[in-house]
Amino acid sequence: MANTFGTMSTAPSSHGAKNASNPARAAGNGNVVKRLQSELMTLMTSPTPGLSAFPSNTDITKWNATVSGPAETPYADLTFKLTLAYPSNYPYAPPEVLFKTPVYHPNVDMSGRICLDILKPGGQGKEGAWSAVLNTSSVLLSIQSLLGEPNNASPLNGEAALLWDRDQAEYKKKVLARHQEPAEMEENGLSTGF
Amino acid sequence: MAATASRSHASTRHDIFASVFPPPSFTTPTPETTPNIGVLASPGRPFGGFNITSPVFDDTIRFNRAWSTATRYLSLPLHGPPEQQTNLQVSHDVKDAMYHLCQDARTRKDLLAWYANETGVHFRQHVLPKLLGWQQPVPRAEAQALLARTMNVLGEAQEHYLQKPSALAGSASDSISGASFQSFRIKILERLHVQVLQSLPIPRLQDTLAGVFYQRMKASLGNNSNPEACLKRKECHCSLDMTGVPLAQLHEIGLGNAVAERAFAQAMHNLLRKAAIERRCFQVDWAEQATVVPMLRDWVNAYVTPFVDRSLAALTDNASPEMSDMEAARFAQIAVANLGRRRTAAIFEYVKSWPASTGAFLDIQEYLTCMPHDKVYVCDSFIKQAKTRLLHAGASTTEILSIYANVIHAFRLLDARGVLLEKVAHPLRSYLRGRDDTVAIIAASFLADIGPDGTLINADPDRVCADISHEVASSTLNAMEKGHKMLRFDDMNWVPDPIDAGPDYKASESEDVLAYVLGLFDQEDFIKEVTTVLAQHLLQTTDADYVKEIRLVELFKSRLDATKLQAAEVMLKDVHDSVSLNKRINPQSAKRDQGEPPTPRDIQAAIPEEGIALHSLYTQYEGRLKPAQFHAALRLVATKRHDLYFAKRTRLPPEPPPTSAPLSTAPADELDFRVQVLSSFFWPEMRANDFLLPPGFPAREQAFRQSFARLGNQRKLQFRHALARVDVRLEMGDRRVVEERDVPVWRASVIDVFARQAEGEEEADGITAERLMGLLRMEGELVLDALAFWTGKRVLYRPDSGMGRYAVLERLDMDTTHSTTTTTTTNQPPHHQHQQQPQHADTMISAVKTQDAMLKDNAPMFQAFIANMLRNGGPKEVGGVMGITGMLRMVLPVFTFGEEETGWLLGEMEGRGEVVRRGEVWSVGG
Repeated sequence: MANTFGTMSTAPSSHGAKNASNPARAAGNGNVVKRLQSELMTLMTSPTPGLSAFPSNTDITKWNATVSGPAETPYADLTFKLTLAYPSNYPYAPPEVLFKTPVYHPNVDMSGRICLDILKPGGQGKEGAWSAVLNTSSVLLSIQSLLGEPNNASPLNGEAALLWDRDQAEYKKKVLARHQEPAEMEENGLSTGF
Repeated sequence: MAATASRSHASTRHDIFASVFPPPSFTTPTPETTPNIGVLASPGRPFGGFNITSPVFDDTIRFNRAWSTATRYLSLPLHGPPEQQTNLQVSHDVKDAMYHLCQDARTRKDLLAWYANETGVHFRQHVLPKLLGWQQPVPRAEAQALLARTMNVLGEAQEHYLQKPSALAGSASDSISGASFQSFRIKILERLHVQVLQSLPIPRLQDTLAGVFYQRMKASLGNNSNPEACLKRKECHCSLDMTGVPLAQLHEIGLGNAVAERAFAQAMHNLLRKAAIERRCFQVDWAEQATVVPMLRDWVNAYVTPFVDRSLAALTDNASPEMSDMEAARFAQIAVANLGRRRTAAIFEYVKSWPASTGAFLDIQEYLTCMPHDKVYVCDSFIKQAKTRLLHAGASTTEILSIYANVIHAFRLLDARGVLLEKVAHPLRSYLRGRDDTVAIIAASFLADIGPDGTLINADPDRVCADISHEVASSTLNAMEKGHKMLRFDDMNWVPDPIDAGPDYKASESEDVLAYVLGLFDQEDFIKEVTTVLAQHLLQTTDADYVKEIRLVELFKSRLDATKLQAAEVMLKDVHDSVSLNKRINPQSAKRDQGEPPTPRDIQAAIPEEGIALHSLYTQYEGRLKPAQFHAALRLVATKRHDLYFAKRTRLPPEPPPTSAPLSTAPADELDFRVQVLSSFFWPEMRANDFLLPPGFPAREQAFRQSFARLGNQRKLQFRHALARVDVRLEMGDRRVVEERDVPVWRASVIDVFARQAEGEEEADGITAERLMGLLRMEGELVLDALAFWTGKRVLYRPDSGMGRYAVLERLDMDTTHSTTTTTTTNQPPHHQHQQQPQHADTMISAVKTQDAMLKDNAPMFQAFIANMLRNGGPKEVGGVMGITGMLRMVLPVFTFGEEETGWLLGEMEGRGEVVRRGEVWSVGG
């Protein structure tokens, strides 16, 4: 299982914004950098409890994030690592967000991809709900609330969706079995970010 | 006469006695010790059989006889002092015997060996004890005496030993025996010399000789020199001689030759190294700043070389040991090299006193042309001296910078292509880069004012390097416009790259000091710092045309990357625009730009007791008064004597009575209110303290805001009160008027509180600093600064019963607690020099925020960044590309600090338990 995650972390996303992974343009688009810098500044100066994010390296379009599980859900007291990759036309396209921590959740698949409407390109003729007014902080907040309120109508993980409705105790057991804290992940040789 | 006669008679008799009764301890000559008892008669003789003559036998007898006679004659009296035998008679048999012995090489050799032994025994017994002084080190002071004594003793001994051989030689009857006796004598002399040398410690002898020679040469130089005359004629006529040291005699007693030659060479070497070039004649030419090397060469050729010839001739008894031209040139070269080394030994001093020391550097230049391999030595010496004397915490950065400028000049003189400069400048440059304040000082120096005499005007010598300012003032804008050297095919001065340059050598494009100074740092760092200083300067300058600043920015643009100087240009434009903006909004203000014209009384007061020249007096009022008006006023109050003006003693017509209010800010509508509009994005972070202004200001601010908007400006105005400056005029109770120009406005606010309090007659016993802070909503730092300023100006004082309160010092005698200056001058009007010097708070509280303050202010934000970075990015080190510092700089443009500051931030966080340190790696805590 651990190996699967390790290799899948580089799997291409089904969504657009392919050039986000192209480092050549990292410094090319000043607007993205400016926007990200200001987002970072807001995030730092008015932090939201339970959420934090920071650029992973010198490329400011790749961030690592940490989200703590919402209280009174099966995910309480757990820490989740995510990566955010911003496309060059951000904020007109959504960032690509992946769970690095193995998550047992109806809307998260085995490679950490998230099924969430705001993470899909929005606009006319598209099914997504991304909008340029959203930002890193709101994305992370949505993901955090998604943990406590899964959208069982369109599950990526059918078993989890079923179990969520039927047996919360069993569900929580599965969640804990799958989950690894960041420290454990590092011991197991999994990356927690970019 | 009679005495000598009788003495010679006695000695002859002694000889007679001696022939009969040999002296007891005399080692008797061989034949007598082993007497020849003859041989048995040959058995063959009676038969007459063999008529054999026996030549061998005969020879032996002859030899023995001759030997006996000769040795008896030659033997030395072993006891007592050598006798003086003036009249030596040589008997015929002695002569014959000697002749016989000297004929045959073998016997002569035996006789020589015997005589050498004889003299050796005598020498050891009677002469050596007198030369004991050589057995221990010879002190310099006694060297001369010891040498004289030795020469005396040896001379006597030699004379004694040679007495008989000489007499023999003198008495030779024919030329053949004469020649053989003479050669015998010479052989004896050689052996004696060998003996002398063997019995004395050669190295010590040589050193002593060298010392004595050197002392003599030095003394003769001292006696014969006349530096004044030499300097006047530009050539040295100080001659050398060796009087007092009998060189020929040295040679005679066997101390000449190799030992003495070596000693002489040693002495000569020392002379050329020390005494000769240390003389006044060859000192650094400070007055004319020319090299003394040609003079030195001439002197060596005209005086030293002949002297060496003469001395060597005397020492070796060789009539003409002429030096070849090459050897003579070598002497000159050695002298020049020594002079150069001597200059090099003090090269740091010369760099320091550049350009007065140009002569010294020209000397070194000559030295390097004649000894090209010593370039390394010169560089090393300078670097070593600089390291011990300059590159340490005790030297201020301005000092190092000014020496750096001098180094550039001086070493460019030594080597125009800059190879040496590159070598010596490297340690200085790397050290300067390590200093925190270097950039700031360079930037400040670029903006400092230089007076006509090269001194700084209104600048702190610790913060501004006068040499650099001077360079800026004298530099040309188009220094860089030379173009690329390689591309100018008609350049007649082209030279190839020097062969002794390092691999990283590249011909410097610009050759002036500014290029080197600017090249010290990364352009970006430098521009940032320059922008800060320029901002400060623009805010404080009074010159409405900003000539200097414009020139400076142009200068930078020509030398640095022009595109990076955008901020500086915007700043310049801002202040220019502000001038015209003020004219449009406030048209009448321009008229009063220059302040009120002075009254005649003011002018009278400004004339010092010792008089003042017209021009320097007028400069004080320049712009406030037209020259004609000024002349009229001056004629009223002053008398002119010898181009100086003195105050008239007569009374002046009464002036209109001053207003009674203790503090009169001018009537509200006459308040001259000017605003500078700055583009906050391009200016460095400014001090943003806010506080209440004296009444009248807020309304004006509001009015300005409206006019500004009316002129079609979309920009949002934000007033920075802490940057404002005002002119304050205070009239005190004893009619003492205190006028201060360009005071930071917080000081005006503070004094205004006192003024209003005096009008309101409440809290008459003063106000405390805390109360002021509350009243004005001002920060403590500023309040204290203002209080200190006004106390220093003797406007405020602290009453005895004050309990930390301050009150207005309406009359000077109210301040009883004050220091001695007032008690001595209570009855006199206060002179300016009796007032305490106000603190230079301008330097303490500057308009631009310091880096340190920025760090402290922003610490929480930076720390939040660090915490988030560590939480999301995992543990990190402080340094490195992906380290904490690097990441902060990358994601946070405001963060311009180094690892040291990051360490400080982390230390604080560690104290709060937010981060944990494991070795070099920091990670998020808890």
